[in-house]
Parts: sequence; C-alpha cells; structure tokens
Amino acid sequence: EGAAPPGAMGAGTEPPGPAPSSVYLDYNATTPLAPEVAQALGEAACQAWGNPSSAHPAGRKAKELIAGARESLARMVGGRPEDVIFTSGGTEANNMVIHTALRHFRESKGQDGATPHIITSGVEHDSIRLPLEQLVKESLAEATFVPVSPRSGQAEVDDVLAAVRPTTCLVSIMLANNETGVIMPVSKLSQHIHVLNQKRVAEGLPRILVHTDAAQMIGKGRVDVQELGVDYLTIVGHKFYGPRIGALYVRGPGTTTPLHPMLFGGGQERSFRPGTENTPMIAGLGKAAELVSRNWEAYEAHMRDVRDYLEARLEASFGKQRLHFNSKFTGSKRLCNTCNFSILGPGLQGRRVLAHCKTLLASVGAACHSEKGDRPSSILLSCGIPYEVAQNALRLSVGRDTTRADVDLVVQDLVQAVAQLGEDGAS
Amino acid sequence: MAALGRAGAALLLRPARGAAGPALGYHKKVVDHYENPRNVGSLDRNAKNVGTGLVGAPACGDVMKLQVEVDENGRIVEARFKTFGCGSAIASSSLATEWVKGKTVDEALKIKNTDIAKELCLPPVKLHCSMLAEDAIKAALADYKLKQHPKKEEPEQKAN
Repeated sequence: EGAAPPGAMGAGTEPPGPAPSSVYLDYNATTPLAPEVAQALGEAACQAWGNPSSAHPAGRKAKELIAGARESLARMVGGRPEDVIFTSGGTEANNMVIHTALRHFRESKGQDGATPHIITSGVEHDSIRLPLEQLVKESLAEATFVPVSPRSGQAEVDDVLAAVRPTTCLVSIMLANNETGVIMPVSKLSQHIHVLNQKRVAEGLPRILVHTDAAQMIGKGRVDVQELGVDYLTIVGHKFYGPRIGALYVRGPGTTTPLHPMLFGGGQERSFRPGTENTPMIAGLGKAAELVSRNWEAYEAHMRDVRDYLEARLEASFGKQRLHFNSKFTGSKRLCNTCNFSILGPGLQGRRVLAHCKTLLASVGAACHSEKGDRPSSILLSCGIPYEVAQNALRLSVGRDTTRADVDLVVQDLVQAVAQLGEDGAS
Repeated sequence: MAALGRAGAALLLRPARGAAGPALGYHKKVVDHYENPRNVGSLDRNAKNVGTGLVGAPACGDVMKLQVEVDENGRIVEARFKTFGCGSAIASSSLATEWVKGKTVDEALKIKNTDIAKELCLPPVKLHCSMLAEDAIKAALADYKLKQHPKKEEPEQKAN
C-alpha cells in the first residue's frame, strides 16, 4: 500500500481540520441513553402505545412491558416487583418519602399536636433539602441537617443517632454524594435505627423510617436493599444511561412500610402514584436496569480504572503541590467515577478553567447549581475544604465508555487552559 | 492500521526541531519500533515458565499481549509481544519486550510507564499507551508467578 495522508495518522498530530471532538466528563450530571435503552424506548413508543389499563390487546401489550420493567428494577436493587413504584424522577420520589413520613407521623397515635422531626445530612440533593426547608418555614416539621465530618466527608452514624428525638419520624441520607463522590454509611445507620426502633415501639414512640437517595450509586457500585436495610430507596434513570424518569423502592408499600400518595387519580401504580403510565420511558428504564444488573461490576471496575488513571495523570502534570483532591477522605469509600479536584492558585476558579478548555466538558459541582456565579460549592465548604480551594474546584465524572485516551486528551486540555490563564495574568 | 511503506513514514517524519518545539508526526523512535519491531510473536502459553499478560480491550482501541519466558534463576530470557493499536502502542510494547529481557522478575516489575514514555518521547495524548505497556508487563509477570504457586489466591487479571 502507498503512503497514507498525513492527517490520517493522528497520533501526536494536530490535524489542520476541526479541533478534536470534545470529551464529556460530566456523567454525574446526566448520562446519554444506552443504545439498548433507546431501542427499547423507541419500540415501546411505536408498538405499545395503548393505555395499559385497557382490557384489549393494545393495552395489554403496554401493561406487559411495564410489568417486565418493574421486575427488572426490582431485580436491580434486590427487592420484589411489588416494592417498585414508578415516578417522574428522583425529585418526585424524594418528595413522596418526606410527604409519607409526615402523614404517617400525624396518623400515628399519641402524636397529637407534636411537630414531626426529620434528620438528613448537610450535603443532600436539593430535592431533599428544599422540601425540608419549606416544611420548617411553614412550621409543619423540624429538621436537623447533620453536617458531614471534615475528616471522612461522611455523615457519621454517631452524629445522626445523636440528633434523634422522640418526635423523629424519618432519617434520609444519600447513598453517594454527587459532588465529592463520598459513599455514606447507610447500611450501618439502618442497623442502628432498626435496633432503636424496637426500643421506641416498646416505649410508644413513633417508628423512624429510613430512606436513601441512591441516584448516584446505581450502576457504579453494589446497591442491595437487603444489605442497605432501608425502607425507601430513590432510583433515578438518567444517572445510569436510562431515560428521565425514576422509581421509588418501598419495602412492602402500604403493608410493611407506609406510602402516602401525593397525587390522586386513576388508580395506576396501585393508587400510590396515579397517572396513565409513561410506557416508553418505563420500558427504557427497565432496559437500563437490566444492563446494570448484568454489568455493574464491569462498569465499576472500568470507571475506577479510568478515574484512577485520570488522578495519576493530573498529579503527574500539575504536581502534588499544585493540586488538591477534594474527593479523597481517609477511611471513606467513594464513587468509582468521580474526581473532584482543585488546581491551586489565583485566577484558577473552576468555571474560568472550564471556560478556557477546548475539549473537556465537565462541571464545578451539581448541574442544578450552575447559576451560582463564582461562589464555591456549599457541599465542599461543609466538608471542610478551604474557601479558595473550593472556589477552584472541578468535578470530573467518567462514564462507562470513557477511555484512558480520553483522559490523556483532557489532561492536556487542562494543562493548556491553565497555562493560558497564567499568561493572561491573575483575574 | 494499514501497513505503511517507507515513503509514508518519510512523509510523516519532520526534521527534529529540538525538545521544545511540537513535532508534527511520529517521533523517529516510534517509527523505528513500528518498522522494525522487536520480538513480535508468541511463546508457548502452556509452558510453566512462560507468563502471559493480555491487557486492554478492542472497544478502547488498544489490546496488548506480552509474554515472558523466565529461567530457573528467575531471570527473563525471552519475551514476545502482539499488539492491536496505534503506532505509539506498538512501540511501547515492543520497547517493553526489549527492556524486560535480562531482568529478574522483580527488576522488570519496576519498569514504569513514565520511563517508556520518556524513552519514546510520547506526546501527552499518547501517554496511556505507555501505561498499558506497564500493565502488560505486570500482567505477564503476575501470570508467571501464579503458575509457580498455583495454590496461592491471586487476584484475577482482567483485560479491562
């Protein structure tokens, strides 16, 4: 064969054409649909459009798909199909749990007039934090936001237990934090609450319900509701290559564990969450769950390998002195794919660095907080990270298809961005 | 990757402009390993004194198989490689086979990807190739060690 044209070789060359395509490293914000999920979704949209509540074949077909998806989700988290309620997403699922805890407290005997108390961490997603803040504002509940330990980045079990009051009705701690990647000690906490509940019931005190928002953990590590010992678990489709709906796992809804609906209507989802079902999305979610059940260990191993390689390359390129890893805490496990770090120095605020990147697509923290300007993440600050370091934070989260080659491109991009910012002078 | 004739290689080779300037095209050391690869081939993977490491994944575009033959004194006397990947990946694994020969198992485990990258003057975007070559060496030596002590519980080597 003859000589290949110069552009085709690629290695180490800057081709004269368009810049290398971007590398998306913001998988904690959202993930694309897996091809199999898009296919399942599309097929359901075209072929199973009937109303699942209808008796005729068009409806029955949709009903079967939904039943299949429900089983798939149950299998993914180690529960039973009857424990899965489909919702519009994580926000709705989280709100349902809080709503249920309050209703359950009010309906429990011996609580007349008392204000229910809810315990959560100081680093939760807004869909837990804001409903609680609203309830406190309206004097409908009291809330304790247990700060995370600056040493471990976790909401420590002892700190949570210390916050328990006679009026406590719910403890909600996220399974893995979206910004730092720290995994919280939910199993251990559940065990302690279970023991505590036995004593409380004997004393006539309300049972403490246990919830975990597992949005960031599914597809990145083991999620088993028997192991976790929780009463409720939030499932979010668009974090594990699924569509933009979610589900709530409830251990025996209406029987073992209370579940009170927020919406009233046509009786779907056993009246826990009525509304004509979103069959295509549910089918897609079921397929995404299937992929996770089959492959989560391989996904975790791969993402951990690529993330560790990213951290090694960052350290090699910027040097230990210039870099601070905000997601490394002693004694804590962390998500396999998250790397939160700050390049130290003036003028290197996270947003500025990202603006000067030509390849890297990432964020400085939770996507839903992106309008906050240059103020650093409150989650990092509450983990004890100094203000100037938190300001420079970058959150990179790798995905199932991220390669080490992508990492090399991104690190080079960051090096050039920082060099450029250095030339432009401090802001 | 298509076979490249001498003319093609010459097209890509630019005169060296010193360490600072960005060179367009492959470094001549990489081209050399590509055109005159050392130790391509296979050893008998069933032989007790042969360790085989298989790393990478076709989906990532890089797969390396590296094999070592170790003598009674724990010294690597022979090494072979086969690589599916870019020129830098081929050069990294070819260099790896050159470097492990003559070393003891423990000495070979000390070979770092940064040394390989430095020797081949790999650009930043190709550093992962040298990392994979280091993984391949470690995988081959781990396989060899496992074969000497089959009862020991060793973690499974995975091609990632």
